[in-house]
Amino acid sequence: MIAYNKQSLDNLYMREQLEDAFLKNQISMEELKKCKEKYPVNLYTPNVFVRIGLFVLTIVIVLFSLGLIGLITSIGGSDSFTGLLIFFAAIAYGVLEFMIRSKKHFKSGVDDALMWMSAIFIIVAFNLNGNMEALENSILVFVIASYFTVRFLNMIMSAIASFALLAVIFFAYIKLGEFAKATTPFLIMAVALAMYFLTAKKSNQEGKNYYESCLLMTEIVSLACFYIAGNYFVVREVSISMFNLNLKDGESVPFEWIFWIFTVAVPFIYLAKGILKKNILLIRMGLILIAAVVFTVRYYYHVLPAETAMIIGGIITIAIAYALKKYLNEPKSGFTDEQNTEHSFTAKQLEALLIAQTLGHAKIETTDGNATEFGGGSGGGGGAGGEF
Amino acid sequence: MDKTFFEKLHSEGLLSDESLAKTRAGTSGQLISVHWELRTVLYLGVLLLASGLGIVVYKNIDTIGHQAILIFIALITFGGFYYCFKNKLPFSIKKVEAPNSFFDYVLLLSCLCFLVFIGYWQYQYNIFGNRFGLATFIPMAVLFFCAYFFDHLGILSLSITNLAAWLGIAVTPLEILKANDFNSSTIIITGLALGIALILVGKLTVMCNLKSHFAFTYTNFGMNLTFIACLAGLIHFDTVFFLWILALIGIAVYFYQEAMKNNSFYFLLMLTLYFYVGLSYVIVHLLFEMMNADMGGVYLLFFYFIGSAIGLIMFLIRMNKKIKAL
Repeated sequence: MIAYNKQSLDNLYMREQLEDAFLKNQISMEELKKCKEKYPVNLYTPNVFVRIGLFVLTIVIVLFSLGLIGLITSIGGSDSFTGLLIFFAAIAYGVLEFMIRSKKHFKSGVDDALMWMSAIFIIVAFNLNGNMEALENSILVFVIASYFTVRFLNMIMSAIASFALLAVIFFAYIKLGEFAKATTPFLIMAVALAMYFLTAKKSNQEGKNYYESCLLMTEIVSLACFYIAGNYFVVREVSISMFNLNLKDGESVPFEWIFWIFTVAVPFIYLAKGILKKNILLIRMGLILIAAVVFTVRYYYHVLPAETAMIIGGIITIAIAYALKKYLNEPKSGFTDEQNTEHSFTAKQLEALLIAQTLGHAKIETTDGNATEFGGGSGGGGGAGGEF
Repeated sequence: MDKTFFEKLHSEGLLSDESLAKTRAGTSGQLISVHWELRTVLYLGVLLLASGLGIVVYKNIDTIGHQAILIFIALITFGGFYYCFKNKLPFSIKKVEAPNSFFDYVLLLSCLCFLVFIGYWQYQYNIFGNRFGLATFIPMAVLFFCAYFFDHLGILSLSITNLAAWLGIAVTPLEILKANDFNSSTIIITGLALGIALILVGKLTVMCNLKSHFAFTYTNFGMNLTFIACLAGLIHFDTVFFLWILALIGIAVYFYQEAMKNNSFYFLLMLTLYFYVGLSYVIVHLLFEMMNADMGGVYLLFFYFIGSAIGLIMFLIRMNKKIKAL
């Protein structure tokens, strides 16, 4: 099923574990070297920046080849263009298999690009005639993304496949009538939860697992979708725009209290579960979704002006983080504030760039005192653009 | 996860007894690091608080009630700076670690509040008069001072953005293309000059060993700005565009050497992509001028893109090997 050589994947996995052990000072340089010689990895995986470059350039090649062939054969009608796209999808796929089999490409940028191009070409080809329904499209995307996940171990494909599966269920279920429409959120939540538990169980199993990162993506998508399906804002707006529920401003969906409970409680449940089970993924999801709680509540209840809410929120956030940092001065209950040293240089540089991006506007606004551009990192006030 | 293969490697004589024991000890009772999560939360708090305060001041700037807010901001600023002065480790021209991980954010918050405060002063009392340059220059100087004195990379990037803003250019990653008017000759020339200056400062930073870990930040801003200014020049000044090609080649060669010297894949990728965009622009331009945009020219264009992309892929693959071997 997997396109890559299993022995090489095993050796790669082993090498990663060994390098990790080396960074933690558990094994010596000498031993690392010997092990690497004994179990060579003959996959071609260049540095991540080179991978980005190869990815972009491969897309350039495929697109211009498509254009060139299109020009030469002077294909105009959408029917023949569909044929051309399918032909190109097949070629891209063939080259992809060739690159993996004989050139041993593995996450090299070339294989990523070819995979995406062939998947996208097929989906576009089917949609060119414009009579694909949402359900049919979801099924198509699900099938293609699942295939690419299983065969090429791609994380993002796995996320798309998980999302498409939920979309298939959503579009199929709402066809069943009014009762189905009203209960859709609960069905999606149930399915997402089931998906999460299945994948989490699988990825927690001991032993090597080629699909570890794919399963992680599915976990993330199912956790996110579980929350989204129960979020008050999403339920209300989807009911209005897709189910033609006639709600005026101030009116709300039936059983709104259930959705309010989900909206507010789920992130904190994630966070609490994460802390109890020492699961960093749940902790991160919880933290991100707490922001979603704030935005959802503020969308319907303008309790405080934005800036006051920001100040109070800021003070509370800083206080909580400060208290936690103090608490974790010494490692406690399985958590620590120590950083893993491996990525700290990159992380610091990224943080500096982030500060420049989000706070870059924090300069003196002398001429117009336009305060709305001041924060939030939404962009806008960055360029003084010859103002001075 | 799976540690059984450590035993297998041990039985094959590849791992010593001691190492095997260490890997076993390492797998049990592993701590989970929430370092970056906490930093992110702290950072969000600082961002919210500083932005909120900024908005409050500007919204209430004409009413009486804002005095209290101003005093609050002043208190944060001076309290924060006082904390930083008291707790900082002795200054050194080398890298100085923050005394604790809270320190960085106190400093950041103080600097941001300081900016709000100065902005208010300028608005209300016009302390810098109408010399707007001065009103941005002084906070910028303070930011640079803080970046070096307290050794803070984030504040250094803020200073560089402020320096660029003082000259009338936006350099933040998402705005560099959007907010700048690259049809203006002044902006292009200023951008080029500032970019080269930043690259030089980055170089000097390493040569003089003065906070040499700041070098990447300078060089990165400088490289992107220089390349973009060059590309803009290439498009804008079409009468002397060969001069800009020479400049583009010069910078690309310079960064090629730097990438080789520092084993930097990042610089290699950036120079390749920027150079490719420039080269492609020139080729497209020439083809359309020569062929009067007939079909032959279009075909050649497609062949050029396919061929050049294949060539560049081979180049990148070779470079990958070369840098890895260094």
